[in-house]
Amino acid sequence: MNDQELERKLHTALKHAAPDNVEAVLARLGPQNGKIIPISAPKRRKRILPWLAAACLVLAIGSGVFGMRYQQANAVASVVSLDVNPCVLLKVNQAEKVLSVTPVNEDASQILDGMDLTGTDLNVAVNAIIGSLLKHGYVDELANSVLVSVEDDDLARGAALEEKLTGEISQVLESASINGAILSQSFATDEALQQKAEEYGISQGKAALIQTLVDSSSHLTFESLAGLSINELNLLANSEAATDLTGSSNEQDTIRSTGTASQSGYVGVDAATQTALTHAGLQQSQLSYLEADYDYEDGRMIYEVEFGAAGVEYEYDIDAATGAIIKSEREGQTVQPPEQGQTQGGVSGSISSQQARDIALADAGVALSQAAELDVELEQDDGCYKVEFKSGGYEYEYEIGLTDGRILSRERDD
Amino acid sequence: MLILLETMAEESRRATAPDVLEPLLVRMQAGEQEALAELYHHARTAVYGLALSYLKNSHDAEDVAQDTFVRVWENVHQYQPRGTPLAWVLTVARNLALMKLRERGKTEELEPESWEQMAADSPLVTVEDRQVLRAALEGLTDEERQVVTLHAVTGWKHKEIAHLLNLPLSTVLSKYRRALQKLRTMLEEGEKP
Repeated sequence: MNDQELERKLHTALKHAAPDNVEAVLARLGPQNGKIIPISAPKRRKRILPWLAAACLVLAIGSGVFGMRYQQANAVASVVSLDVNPCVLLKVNQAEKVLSVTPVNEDASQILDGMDLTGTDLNVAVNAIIGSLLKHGYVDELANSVLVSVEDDDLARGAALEEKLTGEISQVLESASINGAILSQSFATDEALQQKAEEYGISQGKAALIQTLVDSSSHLTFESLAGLSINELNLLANSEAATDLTGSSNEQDTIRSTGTASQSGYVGVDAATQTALTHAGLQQSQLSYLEADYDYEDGRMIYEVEFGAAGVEYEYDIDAATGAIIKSEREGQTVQPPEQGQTQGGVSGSISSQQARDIALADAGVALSQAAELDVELEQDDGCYKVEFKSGGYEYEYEIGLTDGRILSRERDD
Repeated sequence: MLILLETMAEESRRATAPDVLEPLLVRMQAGEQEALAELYHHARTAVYGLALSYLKNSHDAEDVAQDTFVRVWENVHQYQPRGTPLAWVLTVARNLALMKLRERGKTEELEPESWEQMAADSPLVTVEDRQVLRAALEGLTDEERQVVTLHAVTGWKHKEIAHLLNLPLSTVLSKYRRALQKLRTMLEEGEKP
């Protein structure tokens, strides 16, 4: 049975096993969540000092007048956390008035020193806190990421609040001439997450961000990420290590991202790529594909650099802070090492993988330089090479006889 | 020599192509439930296949499939047209499946299922079709099963699959080949007396 037949059978079985009950879905439809417009462009420019002055003015009178006035409405509607490294938790009521402000870590106590934000409007409180973070040097060009999290069982209200706060913070950062990056998320109460946050001494917002990263990756763990800064988590959230987050084509509703996380602390993706290419003895022009992005492995930020050239695939891990090569691998060489338990038999009297590649390319009428994602693999059991490549909008797949170079099968898909 | 232009992969890809699904999401943004019904028709196999490949439990996969379409409806305003509507829908499905796995982690082990009974009442599904499904669910590693299932139900290119599953392209390529080889071996062994 060939690959297509196997897949067709799997598809057929799944198609008929899949529930076909659209009525059940339609019966569950409720109202749609409001439109959320990701904030990417900074809004009007404002100076930070007037903002701080306004915030301080309101704070001065806030605890006296507003505190009394809103005492009755003290039911917590949303819990907002602001994470940089200092982490501040704000509980607000339905009217978005601050009911309480809690420093989650020691740095945050310093940030909140002397400020009484109880009873103020949430946006004023957030402005004051971000202003204080800037003043104390927690947000700068080296680490410019802020995480805004809204915990609210009314998801639509949480999402709206999240959007509003993202806009506020954007403005404050912009007015301080900080090229800031904001990650934002909203979620319902989650006891499991709360426990995890307490266990690691972090906010529930940071725990939610880490959990999302862990869920979207095959190798990241909660424990390894708990100690990372928001800026590092932001770099990971927008990297291939978590491609279904925002900033990629698979955008979905978990985390929104605006601005670019600072990379000043690292050697840069271009330098890392060059290090890998030099080690492999290749020029960029020789590559059939190249991918390079942040990842986190063995307790450090790395660049994962992958590329292919002449049927060989290369994979490098480069230390993001130092630019040193941590790992280098290559596979798909002239004849691949046999799988375990097999012998290297059948190679003498056979064609090489390069010959197989050339036969396939010639048959397709595609020049080597035009073939992308070229991959040649020895299928020892089937006595053939499998040659795959893309060119001119088509995807080609060939099976080339190992001993005689005969074309055993060919396919071309759009 | 035969060039198989009309493959299953193409058929799957056509059914869920951006130019088919994108207008449906736009209509859903205007509150049109009929558009969701059409989306369901086009994407239900892909959504269920993905969910099953993660969860290995038909009941949970059915729940996640249904929840996915409800979530897509609720959050359709967050979809931004970038030419990959199915990727967006499947990302929702994948996240719900991962949440389900997390919930399940706290509870008991799953009862083994008799996969060969799946879709047994459909005359269009052959015994061999069901054997392939069983082999995929019982004999492959999680990643192998996810890669090969996604390829079968979406007809996507390996790079697109790598993107959705957050795996390097090279890993997807090798898992895919290994998965098909394993399936073939399992089926051949199953045929032996």
